[in-house]
Amino acid sequence: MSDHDEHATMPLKSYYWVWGWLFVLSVCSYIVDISPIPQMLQWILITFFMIAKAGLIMAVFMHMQWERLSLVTMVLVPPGALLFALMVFGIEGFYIESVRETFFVNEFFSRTEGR
Amino acid sequence: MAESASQATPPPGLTGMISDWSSDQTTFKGAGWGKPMMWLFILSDIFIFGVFLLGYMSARLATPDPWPDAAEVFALTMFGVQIPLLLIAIMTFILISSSGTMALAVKFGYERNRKVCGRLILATAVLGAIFVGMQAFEWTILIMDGVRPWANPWGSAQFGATFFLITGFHGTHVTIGVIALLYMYRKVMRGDLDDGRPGAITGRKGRWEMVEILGLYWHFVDLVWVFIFAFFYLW
Repeated sequence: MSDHDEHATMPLKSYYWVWGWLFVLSVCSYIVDISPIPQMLQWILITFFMIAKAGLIMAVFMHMQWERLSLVTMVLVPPGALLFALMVFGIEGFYIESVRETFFVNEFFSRTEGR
Repeated sequence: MAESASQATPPPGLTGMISDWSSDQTTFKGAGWGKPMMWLFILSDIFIFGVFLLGYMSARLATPDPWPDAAEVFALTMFGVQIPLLLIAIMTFILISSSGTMALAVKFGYERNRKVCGRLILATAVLGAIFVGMQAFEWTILIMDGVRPWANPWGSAQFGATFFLITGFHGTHVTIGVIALLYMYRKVMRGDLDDGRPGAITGRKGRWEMVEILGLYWHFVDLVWVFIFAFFYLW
């Protein structure tokens, strides 16, 4: 259990510090959501706060910063495939939307208007 | 655990990673087997939730109908004022707090402080149960408003399907976590982890590492909520 000793010696204060920051970041993303700023900026800030929160939870609460690199990469590298899927589904989603606009929404309206 | 502790400390960083994977032995040095297994389970769960969120993104991108505005859908009226996302904000703070108490429980577990560790685990379970209760309340409101997996009064029909699937799957994880926490509370308070008493389900001897492994699961549930909160409620 020698590798766990450093967990136990991490002072209580740093847990409260992370806990506090998680609260602050949540409040920030909530404020961003209800404030009247451009939507693109909202999305960027919300995503930034989300990644910061996820990083804090994984690094400190889940003890990842004390784990060996082989375990860290085993967990963090494979989900990178999701980023590729994000790109593919993103492109596909925009395309399907444009096709639906062309063949369902617009055609429907042009037909009903024609009658 | 015993054999890894007796070995010389493996090198850190990238060199250490290469030597770990090429050692022709246990890859995850000094981590037992329970913790890497929980991480592997979490990795598989990351993919499940990741694919759900990708499906939600596809549905939301592909529909020509407007997506319902979450800030209005999930607003609560308090004292005559409509506050957007009030319930969701409270739920988020409760789940973060439960993650904080769990992190402290793991810390006191490694200090072999049985009583404090047990009480913190119980506090985590209570906060988790409150979260599930509030989610049931939220579902009730939405169902009474007429949200169904196939339709809703505000816009794109896919909203209900993705909402019930994603929050329902997350709520199931929280519920399972609460049950496991209550079970672990009993084990800790009875001294099972000190005495190495065999568990009732698997018969494995109690170890203090079990608290940390359960903690990993619980933090993961909180982690998923961070993503759901951002993508589903705020975007």
